[in-house]
Parts: sequence; structure tokens; C-alpha cells
Amino acid sequence: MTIGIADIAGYVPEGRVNLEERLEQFGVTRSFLEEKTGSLQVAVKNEGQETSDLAEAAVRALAERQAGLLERVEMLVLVTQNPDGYGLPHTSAILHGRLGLLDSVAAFDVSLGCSGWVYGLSIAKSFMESNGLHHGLLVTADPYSKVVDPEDRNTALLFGDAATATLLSDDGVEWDIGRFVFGTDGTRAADLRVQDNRKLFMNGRSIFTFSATRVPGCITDALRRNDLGADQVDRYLLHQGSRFIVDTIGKRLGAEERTPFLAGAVGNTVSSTIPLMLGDGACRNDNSVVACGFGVGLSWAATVLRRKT
Amino acid sequence: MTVTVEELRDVIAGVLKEHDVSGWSEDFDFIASGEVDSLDHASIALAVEERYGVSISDETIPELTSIQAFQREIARQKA
Repeated sequence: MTIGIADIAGYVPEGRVNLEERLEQFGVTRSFLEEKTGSLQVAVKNEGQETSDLAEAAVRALAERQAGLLERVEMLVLVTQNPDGYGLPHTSAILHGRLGLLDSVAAFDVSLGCSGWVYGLSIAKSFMESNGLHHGLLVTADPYSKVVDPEDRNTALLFGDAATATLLSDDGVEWDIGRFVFGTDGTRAADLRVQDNRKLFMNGRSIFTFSATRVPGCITDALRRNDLGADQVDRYLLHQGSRFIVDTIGKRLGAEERTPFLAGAVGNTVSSTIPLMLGDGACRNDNSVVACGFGVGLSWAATVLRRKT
Repeated sequence: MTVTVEELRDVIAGVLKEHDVSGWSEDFDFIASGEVDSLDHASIALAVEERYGVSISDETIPELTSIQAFQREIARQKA
């Protein structure tokens, strides 16, 4: 059996932070938002919404078009670093109960940020194939509004809330999943972290330099590992850290026109950015796509997705 | 190692493709003038690091607001 991606659904909360109203406060211009961060607004959950609420909404959106999904699921993986409450119990267990999944379902959380969906693909695919499971869910839900300081220009202009649910299956596969490349630079772990005051800190320059210098090589390695030439890639789906980072990497790859920034309406939604693009049809006419996530850790991962023929 | 103003101007021009930097004097403060924002500044620093094999610390970068300042920093590290 070979597990691939059968479907993806996303959930973006209705709330928005209008960043145009905060230009003076942050000392930035509208063109800075448009050309650099890439977002004039970011999505934000209601104060009462928990991580599991966002995750549940994404799964239910998927279940609406996948008849009998909740009865078929055998595995539930939730990628988050902002779990419900204090993280115990694991949020995937809460979600499992909310969705009324079978008690034979394997459910666990994966603690990763912006590289999490790509890592999660590998974890879920391997877990399912080695245990003979046919239907699994990979869910991303990492609402940074829980930890972003609204007064911090470095982070408040970037991060948005969203969730996604990816159906992994050996049936009805749309995308075959290739081999993976992973990496970690723990020496820079402190450059993107939640501080003792429970607020997010980001060394923007360090994250930019890391992204600009590590990611192109990671992608080159992934192409080599999958016997794919750069000219055969239809789309590079990069984690949508900011427009500036995506554009910079696109230039370094020599593939600006194939490296879209599509997070303008929601902001950087951490592990949800890549599946949101894929689920929204950003690659509907593509056959070969590189997916690359990178960020907190610092951590990175890439793979190649090929349309199932 | 001597890095000329012209070389550094070319490095910066390679980063700021939408700017005309040909008229920037060596002591023109491109931060105070508003010509360069913090993200472009980080890009310039990265380009200089990669081109000249130097390492620019987070503490130093706020001081590097002109071609001349970059020139001096490279010279200091290569001395």
C-alpha cells in the first residue's frame, strides 16, 4: 500500500486584525505591508475559541465533502505548539472525542511549527504504511494569537490563525508523496520562542538569514532525492513566512514566477500555510510541486508532491 | 583587503533592484533617509556577508547605515 494526499480542507476564522489601522503605531507604511510582510490584515480567532475548535472546524469542512470520513479515520495527527489549555491532555485526544471517532483510532500531537505539515506528512505516511492503515487525518492548528503581543511589531504584523485537515489515504489519492529532506539548527532555537511572559519573541533578522540561506539548499537536496530537475517543478509551495522571505527564496531559486505568496488575506498561519495553498487549488494545473516548511526550531523539511495519474 | 565604494554600491544595487543607488555618496545614510527599511537592510547585510566572507552581528548592523560604514566593517574584519 502507498499512502498519498487525497483531499485538504482549511478553516480560517472570520475575525481580522486590520493592520492598515496600525501603521502609525508600528511606524510602517502601507507599501511596507504590501511588499514586505505581504498582509494588510491577519486572521484572528475569537477569544473563546480553542485550538481544538479551529481543528474541528477544518476536519468538519473536510468531512462535508468526504462522505463517511469520520467513521473511516484510523489515525489522527495534530500539529501544534499552542495546544488546548496547558497541553495535557494532548489536543488530538480532545479533538478525537469532539469528532466522535472510533476508539481504535491512533491519535497524537506533533510539536512542530512552520515545518510541521511537511514533517507531519512523513510521520503520518510512515505510521499508516507500517501499520496497514487506510485513512488518516493530518491536522494543523497553531493559533499564534495566543502568544503574539499585539504591541510587538516584529510579530503582530505577521501571524494569523487558521487550521487545516489533510486526508491521507491509499484510495482516491490526488498527490503522491515523495522522499523527504529534514534539518534542524538548535543553536538558533532561542531566535523564535515563547518567553517567560508567555509572549512570542522573534529575532527577525536571524529568521530571515536562516530562511534565505538554508531553504534553497534544502530544496535542491529534495529535488535530488526525488530525481527531479528544477526545470520540472511547476510550483514551489514555501511556508508563507512573509512576502519578503518567499520572494527572496524565489529569487535565489531563480523561480520567482513559480514561487507564490498567497497569504495576503490571512497572514502567516504557521504549519497551515502550505496545506491552505494546496487545498485552495493553488496547484490545480500542476503536476510536480515542492513543499518546503521552515521556521521555529529552527527546523526545516521539504518533499516533492506529484499529481497522481 | 580593500573594498571599493563602487563594489559595495554594486552589491547594494543587486539587492535593491527597484532603487537607483548610483547617486548614493559613500556617507549617504540610507536608513535615516527612509530609502531602506529593516528587511532590505537585513538583505544588504546578508549579501555583504556572502560576498566578502564576513559575519555581521545583530549588535553591529544598526550602525551600518551607509556604504562607508559597511566598507569600514569589512576592512576591520579583514585586517
